[in-house]
Amino acid sequence: MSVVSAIQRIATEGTISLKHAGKLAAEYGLPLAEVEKRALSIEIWPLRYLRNSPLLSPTEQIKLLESTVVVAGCGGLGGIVAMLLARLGTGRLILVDPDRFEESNLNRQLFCTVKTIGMFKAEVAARKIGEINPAVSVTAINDTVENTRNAINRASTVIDCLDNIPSRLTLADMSRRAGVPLIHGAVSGLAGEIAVEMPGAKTVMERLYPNPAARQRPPAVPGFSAGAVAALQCAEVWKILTGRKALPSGSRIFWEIDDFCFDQG
Amino acid sequence: MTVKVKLFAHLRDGRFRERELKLEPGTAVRDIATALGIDLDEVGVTMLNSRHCNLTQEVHEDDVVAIFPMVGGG
Repeated sequence: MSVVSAIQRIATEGTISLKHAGKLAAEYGLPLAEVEKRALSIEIWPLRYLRNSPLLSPTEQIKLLESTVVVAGCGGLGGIVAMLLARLGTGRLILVDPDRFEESNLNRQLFCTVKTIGMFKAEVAARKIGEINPAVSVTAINDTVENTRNAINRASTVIDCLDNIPSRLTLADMSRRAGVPLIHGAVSGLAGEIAVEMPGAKTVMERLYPNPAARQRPPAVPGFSAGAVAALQCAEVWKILTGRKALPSGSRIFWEIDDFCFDQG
Repeated sequence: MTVKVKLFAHLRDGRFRERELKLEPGTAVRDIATALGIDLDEVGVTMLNSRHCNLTQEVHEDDVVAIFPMVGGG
């Protein structure tokens, strides 16, 4: 019996459970994501993605499962971005961060717990992502973005969740050279911004950071500000990967939580 | 000449959200920021009449200048 026939046989009300998908993956020697894609190809929803429907079509969900996203920075923004993309059903995540969790990260960084202090952020995030969605292929790189050119070259999208301006500009340059869309996010206090750069289109990063050598104190970053920006970044990733209309390349949204104000320009 | 200046986020602290300023001809966006005591290292996007501009951009009667802080945390 083919795996598709087996999926049809085991499906209930147009869905297949994680337990059954996992069992078929083991029986047929396939990755779990492959079983999910084959189910979607006959419009059977893996139960875990059911509430993505009808916002996503089965074809769009397959596109996501076939996408590779680099999350540069696994702190306040990156942890939440990685978690949301895993839950959404992004097929491959490459998590990049050279740092280890510190106690001062506990106020906002999703994967920072009392137990993970001292551990590499990217490794912890990868392990937690595996618990959230075992179909996602996750790679942790405990290094700076400057040393992740190969990962960026094979990405569908790169997400800037970094915390320093020189690295953000380097990442933008690497993404442009690789011809990969970049989704930028940054937060400071009660304000945040996101921006998009598409390959070969209008750029924005140098406009956001006209003075890369500026002296910057580490800003206050409450968890809710980081969460809001991370969610907006993921929405743009979702739009780009599924071919929807995203924020125009070269423009940015500036957001202030205490003023209920969004400014696009 | 009169120019409307809008400030965003923490740049408003101790200053204002939006105000019309009387300025000398030849004033640039940088001069406005400096006159308001804003550290230029803190300045990110600057806009003139809803379009991006540089700090060296001169302003004119009835222009609207927006100054945003640089946002870099992650």
